[in-house]
Amino acid sequence: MKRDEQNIRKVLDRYLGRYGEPPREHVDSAVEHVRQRLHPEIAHAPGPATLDFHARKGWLTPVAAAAVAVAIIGSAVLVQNIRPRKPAEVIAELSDGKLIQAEPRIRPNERLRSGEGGALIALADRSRVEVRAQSELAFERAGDGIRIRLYKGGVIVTAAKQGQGHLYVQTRDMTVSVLGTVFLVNAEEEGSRVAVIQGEVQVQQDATAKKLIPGQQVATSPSMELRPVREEISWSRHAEEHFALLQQSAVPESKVTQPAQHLEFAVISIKPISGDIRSIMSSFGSLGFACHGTDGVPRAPFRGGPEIPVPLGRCVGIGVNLAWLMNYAYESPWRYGPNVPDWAKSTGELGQEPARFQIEAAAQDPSAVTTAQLRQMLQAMLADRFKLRVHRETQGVQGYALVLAKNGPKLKEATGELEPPHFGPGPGIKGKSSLDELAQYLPQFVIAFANLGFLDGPFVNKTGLMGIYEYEFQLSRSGGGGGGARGEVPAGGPPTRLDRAADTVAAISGGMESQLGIRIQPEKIPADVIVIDQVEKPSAN
Amino acid sequence: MSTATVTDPIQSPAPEDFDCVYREYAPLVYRTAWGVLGCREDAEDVLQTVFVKLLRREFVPDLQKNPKAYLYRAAVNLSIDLLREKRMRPALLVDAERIEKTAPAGQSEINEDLYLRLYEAIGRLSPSSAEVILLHHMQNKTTAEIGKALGISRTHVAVRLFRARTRLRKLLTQEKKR
Repeated sequence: MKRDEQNIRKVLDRYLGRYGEPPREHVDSAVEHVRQRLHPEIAHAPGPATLDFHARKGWLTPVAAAAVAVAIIGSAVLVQNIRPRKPAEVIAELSDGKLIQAEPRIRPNERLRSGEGGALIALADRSRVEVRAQSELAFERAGDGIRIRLYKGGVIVTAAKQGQGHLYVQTRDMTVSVLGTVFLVNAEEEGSRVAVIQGEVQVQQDATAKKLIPGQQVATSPSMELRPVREEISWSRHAEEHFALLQQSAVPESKVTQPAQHLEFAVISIKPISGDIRSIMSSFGSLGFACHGTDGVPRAPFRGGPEIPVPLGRCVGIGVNLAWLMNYAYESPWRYGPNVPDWAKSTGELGQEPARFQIEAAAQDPSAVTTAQLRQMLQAMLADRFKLRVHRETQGVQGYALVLAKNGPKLKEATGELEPPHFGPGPGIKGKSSLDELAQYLPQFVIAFANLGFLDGPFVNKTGLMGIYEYEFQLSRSGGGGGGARGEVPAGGPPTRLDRAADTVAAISGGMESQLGIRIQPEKIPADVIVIDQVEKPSAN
Repeated sequence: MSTATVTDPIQSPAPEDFDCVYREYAPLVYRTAWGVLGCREDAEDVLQTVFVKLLRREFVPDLQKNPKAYLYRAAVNLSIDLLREKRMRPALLVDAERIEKTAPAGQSEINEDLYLRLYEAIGRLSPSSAEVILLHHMQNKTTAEIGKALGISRTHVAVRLFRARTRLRKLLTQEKKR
């Protein structure tokens, strides 16, 4: 009986876990596709079953819809009253050129049209929306702020600081979100375009999100002609004020169309460094790579010797190789493709030394660049100077399973209040929780302890132990532990990210095995991975 | 097939509320459908269908009590339904290719017949049993997480799991004998 139970468990784990997790880009893109298909209907749904979702071939025929309806809630539901949606009607005209208080004059979801003289609308939070002539729009309450739905025409939004929330402008093919800034949005037949006058906005189209800073603009369709921002805002009654703001922003106007990378360093210096890691250390005194954004100096992927000073708005690397740059720029698992040359590889094999560089790169406005933007700039730098080309695919990555050790578990059932797993003395881990919770905590621990930035795969509990246990264990000394940021370079050069992960996991496993009767077993788990297709050695400048 | 039972629809969400619900739960629905179907297009169909239902006011009180559990269940049921539909129609070369492409490397030895029989059997379980089986074995959720999502105790989840596995074992054995 027990064996049967084990067998069925095995079959279920194997077959039901067959597809693993979908790649993140699939999820994002599907969610956005469906949202866009549904959204025009949502705001104007006049009553039950009057919507016409004729989105895709073979989708929701009346018969299939009936089957689906029964399956979904086990009950009969109305599907026969589907009829074409009436075109949304314009139900309010905006007065020419006059300032309108949005509340109580404008109701949520009312579709509005401006006259020949345009309109100016003041929102309760003191944001102002200047509406171009003959534009159509509506205001909605979003989950964390206000959404302006722009159907046609253009708006210039002077968004007040939104506190915790956002102000959104949504056209049929993209969404702009802001915290407090001045920007314009045009909705046209071919697509939409956004330009920023002051501050920063995030533009989302399908699964692609990008940030724009003053002077930059983006169009959703390559066929759309991009004009200078100052021309784009010339229709405004406050055009002169907007020009002045644009000039103050001190970022030269640049034009961007998708999918071009718009966030780029203003200055980049890349110099190859010859010699192995020891000679680099003796010449430069330090080794490492880090970027400094307005939200702090992120942890370096590896550092040897004294800390390298990194000025605000810059990325600095001494002896940096491609692997470090990839780790920092992408923050997700990546692999070498078959055409990657040897100089680019950090395999850890004896005699295989990757090419190293001295890099210093600065953003245009160092005081206004975040670490996330610096990462994007690094990606752009890799694409431009290293001619890096990548693609994403699902691959088996290194994950870990908690399994029972040879002599069985030495766990104590917990009593009293639960205590989530946390860093304990020793160093070690302690807590009162299920082993599933412990497994979920372990990646954070490994990332922090080994100074990794990210870990390829997750930990899963495969011990079969489902209780709540009280545990405390120290990491075994045989494992390598952290490494990384200790200011020393090991004899064979710095350990790779995978080495440090493996060492730390081994130390945890050793501690767990002797103290809890559980060990960690490496396992391959499917995950979304970036694969390097092409890379070239950058020329020095 | 289930008998028809008309439930009282509750008030539908305002557009902004719908948007919040969509943003929060759409990834869960898609991931769930993917886990069963392993196919991008089909998972997207399921995602769309689930939220169309929501827009059409086809609610049950469960949705307000525990939207995550409700939407999860809806995604699973729709996916199983789609799988059954595929099972009934002749296999297409395209489908076979798609399965090959989406299956992770190293798992080509999976027995396709058993895979379908397994889902057939899961489809014959009660919705609550199918739900815990998929949450635990497909999504690697712990009993505590499942309990939290469904609003039941962890012990209750463990019991449901055990019974569901026993029932599944019987269904698969019977099927084999036939």
